[in-house]
Amino acid sequence: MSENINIEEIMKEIRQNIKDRGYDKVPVSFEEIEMKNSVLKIGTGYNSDEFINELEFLDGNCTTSFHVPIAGGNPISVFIKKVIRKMTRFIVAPLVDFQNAYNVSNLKCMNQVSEYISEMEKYKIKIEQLEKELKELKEKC
Amino acid sequence: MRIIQLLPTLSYGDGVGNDVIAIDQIIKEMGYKTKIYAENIDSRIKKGLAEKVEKMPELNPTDIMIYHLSTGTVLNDKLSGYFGRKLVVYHNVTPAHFFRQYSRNAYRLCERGRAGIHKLRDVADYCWADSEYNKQELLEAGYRCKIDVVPIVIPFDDYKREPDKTVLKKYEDDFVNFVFVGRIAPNKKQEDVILTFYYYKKYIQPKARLFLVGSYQGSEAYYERLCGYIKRLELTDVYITGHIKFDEILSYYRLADVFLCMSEHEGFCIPLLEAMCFQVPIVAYAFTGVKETLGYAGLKLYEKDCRVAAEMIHMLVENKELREKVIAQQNVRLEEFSYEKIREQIISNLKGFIG
Repeated sequence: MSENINIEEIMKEIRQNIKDRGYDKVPVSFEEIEMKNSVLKIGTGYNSDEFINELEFLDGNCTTSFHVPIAGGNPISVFIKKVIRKMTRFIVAPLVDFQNAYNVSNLKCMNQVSEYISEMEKYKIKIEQLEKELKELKEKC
Repeated sequence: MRIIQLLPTLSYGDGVGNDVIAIDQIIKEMGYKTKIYAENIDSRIKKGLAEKVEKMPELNPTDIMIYHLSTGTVLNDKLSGYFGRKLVVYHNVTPAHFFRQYSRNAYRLCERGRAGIHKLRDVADYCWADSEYNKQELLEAGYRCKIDVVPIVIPFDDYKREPDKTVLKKYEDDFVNFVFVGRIAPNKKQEDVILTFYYYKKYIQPKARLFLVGSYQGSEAYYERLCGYIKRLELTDVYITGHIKFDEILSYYRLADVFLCMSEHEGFCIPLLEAMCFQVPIVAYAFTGVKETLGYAGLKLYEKDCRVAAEMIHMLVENKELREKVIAQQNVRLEEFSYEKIREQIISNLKGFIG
């Protein structure tokens, strides 16, 4: 089916066009783009500072309240907002409760992980000491 | 004898979902009792068409189970425990390494899905693969049963629906519109589409626009990186639509001057056929399933060079004769995926398996 289109001819013209236009190097490669806000990336290694920062954030923000104070100068607007808040309570409140329970459970899990990492750190130090002693003993022998 | 179809998620309007529903219809027309069972069913799916897996009846050894393999799921592990003869339809699973930097969840799902391919090797009595490429993957995994290539069924009639007028009105002008349709996902290499667009806009035609049509749910980190890339390249007129309605997708196809695909892993790539259906000329990196689905149609890149892709697009836009030839070839290619042809193939293959 491709006999109608002369690919060789097309490629020849394309190569010439590329030469004529003088394409520069791309200012930035895709790999150079950082993913600052990514929480999903994997394979980047354990970072204790990042872990502790995130854990502290979780600790301080793991529950939220359904009852958001309504402020505003216009009494009619405040009244309408209060009515809406009251009317939606039966839907929103259980969702907030469920989310809070989930967050607390999540935080407990993460605290357990933190404890486990601390234990591993102690073992790591102990292994290093033992390896050092073993090396010294081997040298003496 | 019953024929049932099983899959993890029956989504509304996606490739696998449409295939499952079309097969269901064909089996009914053949006069067999059939039902679809899924772990998750999209709420937009017609009531009664599918049931939850828990409701699946005990099968007899003579019954046939058609299992759609496309991701990592517990069903891959459970399949060997079900009675009945197993027909595994392989839609491909993206290799996990594409997601390594971006999504723990997607990485694990793909890893589990790839493991599933090996797990089902001795469970499948017969296989269908969407493409020859998918068939080769099964053979490489050591499948010994018969494998037939049965392309995915596409409901082309749906594309005749009215497109969204708001989108059409907004962008109907003299700009050259690049379109790529597909999930925002690292294997689809949207960064190379962006780079091609960068070259085109900077060196060839500043009045150009790029639409990346597709959801980025689950690929937020990759999406974020794409946005950073667009910003650093100081590119304007790039639109990442996110998840949009079907009639809006139709509008983007209508607006497209060219469909550009730089994907590095596809089992089949339905959007290529959609572009053909909308008379949009295609420029694509001919790799994995893309090469096969395109066949002799479209302009293909055998080496990934975004400058060449930009120049190809320029030729398609400027050279009317070439454009018409490419579209004519695409139309012939599209005929080979017509509903009638695939339906015949499904019936013949299924009859052969039933015996």
